[in-house]
Amino acid sequence: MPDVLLRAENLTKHFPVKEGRFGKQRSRVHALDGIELSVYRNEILGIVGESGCGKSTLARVLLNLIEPTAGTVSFDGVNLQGLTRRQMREQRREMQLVFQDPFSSLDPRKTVRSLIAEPLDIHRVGTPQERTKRASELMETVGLSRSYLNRYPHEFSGGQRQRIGIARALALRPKLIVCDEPVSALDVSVQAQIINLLQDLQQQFGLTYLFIAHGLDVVRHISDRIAVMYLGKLVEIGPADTIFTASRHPYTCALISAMPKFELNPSSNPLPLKGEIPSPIHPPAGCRFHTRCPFAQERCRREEPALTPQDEHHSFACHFPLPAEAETGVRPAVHA
Amino acid sequence: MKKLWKDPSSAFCLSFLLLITLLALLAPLLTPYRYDQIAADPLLGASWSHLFGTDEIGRDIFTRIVYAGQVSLLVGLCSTLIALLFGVVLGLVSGYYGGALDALISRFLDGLLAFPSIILALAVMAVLGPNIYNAMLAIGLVSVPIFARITRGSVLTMKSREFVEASRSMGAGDGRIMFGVILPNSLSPLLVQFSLTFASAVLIEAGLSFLGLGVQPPTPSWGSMLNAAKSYLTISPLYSIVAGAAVFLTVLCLNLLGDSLRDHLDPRMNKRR
Amino acid sequence: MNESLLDVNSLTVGYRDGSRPISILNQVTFRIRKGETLGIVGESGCGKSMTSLAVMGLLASPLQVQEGSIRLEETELTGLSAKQMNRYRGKDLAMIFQEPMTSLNPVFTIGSQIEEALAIHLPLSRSEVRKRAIELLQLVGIPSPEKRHGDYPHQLSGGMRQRAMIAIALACEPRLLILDEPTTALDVTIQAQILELLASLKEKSGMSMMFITHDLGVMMKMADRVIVMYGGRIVETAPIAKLYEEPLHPYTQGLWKAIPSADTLNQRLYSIPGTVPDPREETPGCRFAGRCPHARQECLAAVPPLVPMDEDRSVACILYS
Repeated sequence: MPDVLLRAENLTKHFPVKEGRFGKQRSRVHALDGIELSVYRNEILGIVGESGCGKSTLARVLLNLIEPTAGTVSFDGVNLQGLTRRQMREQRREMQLVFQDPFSSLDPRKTVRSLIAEPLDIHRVGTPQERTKRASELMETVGLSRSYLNRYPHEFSGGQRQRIGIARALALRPKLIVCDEPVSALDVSVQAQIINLLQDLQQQFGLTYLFIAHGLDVVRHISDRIAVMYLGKLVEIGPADTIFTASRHPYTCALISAMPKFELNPSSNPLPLKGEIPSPIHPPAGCRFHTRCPFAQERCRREEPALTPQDEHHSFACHFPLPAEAETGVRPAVHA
Repeated sequence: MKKLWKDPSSAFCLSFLLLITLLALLAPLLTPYRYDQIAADPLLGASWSHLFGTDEIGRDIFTRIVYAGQVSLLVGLCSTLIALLFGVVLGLVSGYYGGALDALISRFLDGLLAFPSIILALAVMAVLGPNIYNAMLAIGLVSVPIFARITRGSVLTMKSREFVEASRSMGAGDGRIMFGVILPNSLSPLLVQFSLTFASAVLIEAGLSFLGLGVQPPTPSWGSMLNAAKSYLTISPLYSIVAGAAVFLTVLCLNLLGDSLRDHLDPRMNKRR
Repeated sequence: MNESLLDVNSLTVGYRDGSRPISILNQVTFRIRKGETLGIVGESGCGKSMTSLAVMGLLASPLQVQEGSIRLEETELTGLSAKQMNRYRGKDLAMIFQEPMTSLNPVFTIGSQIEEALAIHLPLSRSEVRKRAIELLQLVGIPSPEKRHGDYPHQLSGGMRQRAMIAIALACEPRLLILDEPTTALDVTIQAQILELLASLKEKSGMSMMFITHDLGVMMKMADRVIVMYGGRIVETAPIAKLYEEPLHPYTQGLWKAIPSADTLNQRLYSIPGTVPDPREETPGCRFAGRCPHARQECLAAVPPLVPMDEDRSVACILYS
């Protein structure tokens, strides 16, 4: 068995919302529902899904930035929900977050030095001189010139800012970095630089990444394993290659075939999804995907499928999975 | 700051405020008289030895105006600082923690705001007794809610910003996030409000002194001088005019300065230019 | 098919900084044929959105057309007054923006917004207008159009809002539809639906499209011909197949290689070094020279002109002149 760094059990998060006139009805957004997930040491686990699937909430609950409604997260054997506030703050040294928007995630009033050294300041690591030295080393590690140390974030381009964000996440030598759409806001030519940097750093420091993105090509490129989410549920998880070429869940298959591909005369979408993503406030009963699934049957409306392991690495939650053999592209035809 | 000097209206205000401050600070060097010294006959007109004339018992009005400036500015400054301190802390706490604490603090502030500020200050002075320190406290208390509201408002917008979440994800504690991250990013509206509250504090202090509840004689204050002068409006109009002008110009300049600070600090206003 | 609908010639757009004119868009020349979809790709700040705004006559002050012409068939658009331009805008030219929520008016129902677009340009009675509006909602695939006609924008999902935007844009059967990143704000499965819809609408109506995107996958699906822009200039233009098979400009080549795909798995991605230049910084030579693997001394001296390579492709690079 691979070495588990982070383990989520039955992780559930509901946000209360007020609905109707005068907020009389109290409802809940089902952001996460019963997520079971293991992140192995030194792997890159990609998480994909559309808006409202709960992937950003998952990132924050795993880091215990948001308290889960139910379930537990254990990091390196430590149950995060059992920690006091002080212990949790200490624990944060091991787990860092890289944000999507390099413009809003850096305090505009701080210099690059104080931004990168902020985690060191918070945890009082070394003397102020040592922190400055470490900050300038980190600048070099992420490919920025040391001479920029006293500049402010607005003087940098998006890619450079994202490098600052990464340097900050590295400062305390964490074990886990959660990357929440780290390249979505960047231009294509800059995106490749950041992906390469993230990969290099993972090798160099033996890091574990949880890599959240909606750009599927990026996730495929960087991830060892991929988890697919739909409306707060984990619908399929497996090795990146399996997910892309031999997925069994119809949603995974539809998501991948909907992705615009960089190729000549792209074949028309073999599994177009009809309709909209349902509201996470009132998720459909039974399988949450049944309202849009071309293969849905009566059972799917009543009974919720559990995430079942297909083999050691590959699990999915579907009553009527796609056949395993054929290529993703042609499989729906087989079904029809 | 440089930009403020380039704008003619704010440059004028800054210069005037600087002048008033200097006059107040250097009062003992500027005039040969003491503020409680009877230097000549009462109610004299303007002359070289008594620039603005003398008051009802023969004290030099210019001397009293500049010494009163000391009192007014000091009371204004201290009460605004008191309001800023308590307002910011209350605003930070209620905005950051939210929930029942926020509701409690907000209702308390709403209660304070429900009184007209001068009446509230009067009531506090009546309870505490009239002296300069109580005046500072009373006027400060009156202005707490506005600072608290401004702070709470910007805490609420800042709280959802990603860089705040970033600090939290690095393990920063509540105090560090409130004072090290949120507060520095909320300074501009507070600075603007500081200038506006300073103005109203000077005004309230003048009002209290006018009613005899502020600084006690013989210490001069613009408000008490106005009160004394009103009886001699026809005999010595200069007395009223000078005392009134001191209050009027100081308050006006502080307000105008607040407005131009807002224009310069608000990035949205800048874009429109 | 070979007839031009839109001819843009040496278009230069910018603003004045004191007495110094600053150009953001430089010498942009292209044409769109009838029934053709022209894709414009490039990264942020390359000028692709500004090109579309210039064509629509929607440049916001202080930006203005400094040089060049924009011709819609026989009509020169650059010199037109705002009033004259309004006759074309919404009728012959229509535009769809990235964020449907901000381009729809929140206080009117989507039905009334479509009807407004119709009523401005077409002499129709009120009942005809309403009938046509419902037809349009049906055309763009909004379910139960009679009911949705009375909905406000906030009652619709992102995908439905973009459909409503498309309905408004198509109200007067424009000859040229400009789409500025129309699916960037949408989820992948919804994006696929909207792209499908746009392709089928184009087939039905025979209109021309100008499709602006940074997503090369979307471009492959939608465009017949492509303009690649960089730093306010066109660096390459070619039919989609030729551009895909054999990109000529080093920037296009770099962009192509930087996209992760099944072939690049377990490899380092190719990345173009450096960052996108600031459009306000004027450099004498090729804008890409600082990041180009083939850059030579001459590249810094003068801007390479857009040179035709064969009948329908051109490239602006010293390597090919």
